[in-house]
Parts: sequence; structure tokens; C-alpha cells
Amino acid sequence: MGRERTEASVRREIVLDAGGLIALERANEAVAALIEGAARLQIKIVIPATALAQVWRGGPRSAYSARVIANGEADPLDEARAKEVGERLGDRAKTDIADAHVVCCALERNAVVVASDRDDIEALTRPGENLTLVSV
Amino acid sequence: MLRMKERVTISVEPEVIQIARDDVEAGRAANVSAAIEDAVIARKRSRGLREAVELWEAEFGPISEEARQWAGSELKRAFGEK
Repeated sequence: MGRERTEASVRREIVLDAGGLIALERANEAVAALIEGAARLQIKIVIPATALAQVWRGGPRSAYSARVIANGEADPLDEARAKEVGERLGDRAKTDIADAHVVCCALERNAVVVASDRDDIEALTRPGENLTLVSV
Repeated sequence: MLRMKERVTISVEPEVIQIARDDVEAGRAANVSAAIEDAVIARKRSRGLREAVELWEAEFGPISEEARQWAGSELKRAFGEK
């Protein structure tokens, strides 16, 4: 069961997956350019808490992730989201919690996904679900 | 803990307040105060992200024009599909 969608259809948001954050820390200019573009267009960047946990190591190794999250929003893994993520993993016979969290978060928010592995994300969508992706 | 909002008086052009009212009408904001608050926060976030990219460029080198164009076209495509 999804949460109530309020203004999802009119917001402009990007959901960044763990691979996208890792790429940013590793000098991937495509991700940096997307973040610059998001800043210019006032597109909000959302990072699922599970993806952040996969990437976050603190200190200088997480310098850019820290700045992105400070100027974006974390999507928490609360009880409702945890159940959504778990049900999706069960439906799709997959096990990656962070990727499933990306998909749940993006679908609820009607957000664009920026992901390093398109196939992993698409494998977690159900028939009829439409996810817009940018691969980095 | 419940945080109290601060009440302030501001002066804006009529067309600006109309934009805020339109956002409320369209369901993009709960009320005019929220619409203005959202806009100010979006500006702050945008500035913070630009600063992050400036630091990134200082460490890794400038983003190429090719990458900028790619990112611009990908964002346009992706949000155009929405």
C-alpha cells in the first residue's frame, strides 16, 4: 500500500541510488553535471536512507554525499516504507533492499531515478509501473 | 517537539503573491506561507548544491561542456516524460 500522494504529480525530484552517490565520490562528472543541472533547475534530490547507508562511510570519503544530502532530502525507511520495500522484493524475487527502496520512493514521488545500474532498478518494477531513469 | 513558526510581514509584488496563490490553488502548497517557505528552501538547496559542485570541480577538475549538455538533455528528457 503506497502512502498518500499529495503534490507528487507536480514536484520535480530526482531519486539518487547508491551507485550514483559512489560515482560522485569517485569523480564521475556525469553525476556532478546532473547535480549542477538539478541545482540550476531547482530540482530536489532525494536519497533513500538505505542507499545512503550503503555509501556513507563518514569523513572525507563521504564529503560530496554529505553536501548532497544536506541540500536534499533523505527518504526514511520507516515501518510503512519497510513493508512496501519488503513486499516489492518478494513480488520480484529480489533481495537488494536499497534498490527496492529507490523504486518505492521514486514511484510514490513521481520522481526521476538516477541510477548506476538500470537493469537492477527496472527488475524491481511491477508490470504497468512506469519509472523514468537516467543512467550514469 | 512542535516548532513555532515566526510570523513576519513581507512586501512582494502582486504577481509574486499570485504565483503563491496559484500554487495553493493547484495543490502544490498548503497555503501561501508554505508556498513562500518552499521557494526559499528551494533557493537554499540550489545554492548548496551549486557550492558542492564547485568544490567537486576544485578537486576533480571542471565539468566538461559535453557532460553539461548531456546532463541538460537527460533532465529535459526525463522530466518531459513526466
